[in-house]
Amino acid sequence: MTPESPSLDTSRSSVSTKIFLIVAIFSLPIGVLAYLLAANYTPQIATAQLELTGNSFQKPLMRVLYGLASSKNVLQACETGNCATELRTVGNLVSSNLETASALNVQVAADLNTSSDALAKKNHKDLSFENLEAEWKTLIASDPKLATPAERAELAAGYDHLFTQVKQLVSYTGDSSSLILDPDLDSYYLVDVTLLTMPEAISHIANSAAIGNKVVTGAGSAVDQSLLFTESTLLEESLNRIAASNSTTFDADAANHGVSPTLQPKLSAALQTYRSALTNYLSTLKSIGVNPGQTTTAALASQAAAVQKASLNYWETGAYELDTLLNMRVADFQSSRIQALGFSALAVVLATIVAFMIGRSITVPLQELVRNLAPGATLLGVSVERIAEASLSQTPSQEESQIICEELNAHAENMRKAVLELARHVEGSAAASRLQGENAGHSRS
Amino acid sequence: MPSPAYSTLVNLVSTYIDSQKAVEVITRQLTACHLTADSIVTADIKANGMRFSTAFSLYVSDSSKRHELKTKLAAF
Repeated sequence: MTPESPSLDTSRSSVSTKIFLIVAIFSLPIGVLAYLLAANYTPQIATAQLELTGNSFQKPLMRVLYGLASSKNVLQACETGNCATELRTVGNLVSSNLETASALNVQVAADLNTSSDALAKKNHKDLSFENLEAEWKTLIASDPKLATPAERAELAAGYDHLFTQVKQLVSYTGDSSSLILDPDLDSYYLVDVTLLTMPEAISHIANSAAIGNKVVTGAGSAVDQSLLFTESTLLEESLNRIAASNSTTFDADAANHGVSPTLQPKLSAALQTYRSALTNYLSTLKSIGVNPGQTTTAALASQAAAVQKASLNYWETGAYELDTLLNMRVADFQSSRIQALGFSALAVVLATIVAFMIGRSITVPLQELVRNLAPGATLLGVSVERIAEASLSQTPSQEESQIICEELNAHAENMRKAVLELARHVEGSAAASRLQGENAGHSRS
Repeated sequence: MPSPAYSTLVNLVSTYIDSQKAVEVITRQLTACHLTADSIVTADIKANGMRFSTAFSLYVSDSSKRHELKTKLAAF
């Protein structure tokens, strides 16, 4: 027993149905291509939206870093131990932004893998908000002991530890939000600044201020002098890197989802302010290296605070401009996806309309042929019947025979025309002319 | 403009044959009788009754219908 081969039986379908099926078969690849095109945009949109989430989560964390670095600055300048009020002021900034970040984490933890469980699975349990908030509460729980340098150093070490933890969380969310894998050149270099360079720069500013303070007070050793030089060099390097990244971002902006009108003016202005503050600060650090007595701890702390503020301002400008670039990318992808689907739908609709018109041009003449030829069967049948009757009759009617002959002849003429019409439709005008010639020859003979 | 007799004839024959075919056969028979659609009257139909009924009935497969058509033409 041979298995029946699967087949699509369309032999009983009308010509219109068959044409419609052909159109449907050719529309199918268009539909599949449209789906693949739209499906290709979907993950890119999702990635950009995840980056937006990551960037919004970075904002309060960076303010926490700024607050911790500022607290450390205050502590370094606190020679008399009378700086509790000032510490509380910058501490409030840390508290409020830690709270904001923690509240935001409830909404984005699933996307950014920042829940306690997710962090624990990745061996980062110490970066959970429960842990960070507990650590911060310990630092501000009671009136800080600031009387002796040793007590202030202990508190500074606490700030340092929390600073490191938060910086690690910034880096972790940069990875989990795909910011680090940003696919566009303009936003990639902006991410390089906001995610990598600036947190490091804020750290270097705080470190250099602490070492500079030791050197100015005369407590610094030769190693501190060397460390101060290293920190200064690293800050200069970071400024160069930021400037180069900005330049690439501006150059690449036009080629990636359109030009952002605010990117260059706002970021350039913020960088200029930061550069100016940092240059002054670096100049002071260099002069301390040569002559420690040239400045006071208060003046150094004031300059460090100004640079920290300018760095935060620059970072925030960069983060908001990154939001703009990412939103532009999402809008561009969404628009492209709609366009792709729209054009595909239009192609299918146009193909259907053209197929309908072609179908009509085939079926209408065929219907005409059917109407012309259909009565022929009845004519032949009845004619044969009548001729048979007439042949049996003693007196066959000549007029009746003549009428039958006339009608048969008329039908034969109709058939010839129908065949020519059919030939013209099926094989073209040349075949129809050839057939006409043959028919004419046959009629003459 | 076709005469009333012509219109009546077309209507009658069209109930048995496809209307387009009916007009074609009637036109052919009128030509054979040297008549036109505009000038034909009932008397002409009666006079050529046998010719008309023979020609029309060739296109009616059912013999009872054929007979019915012949009767109606005769009573025209």
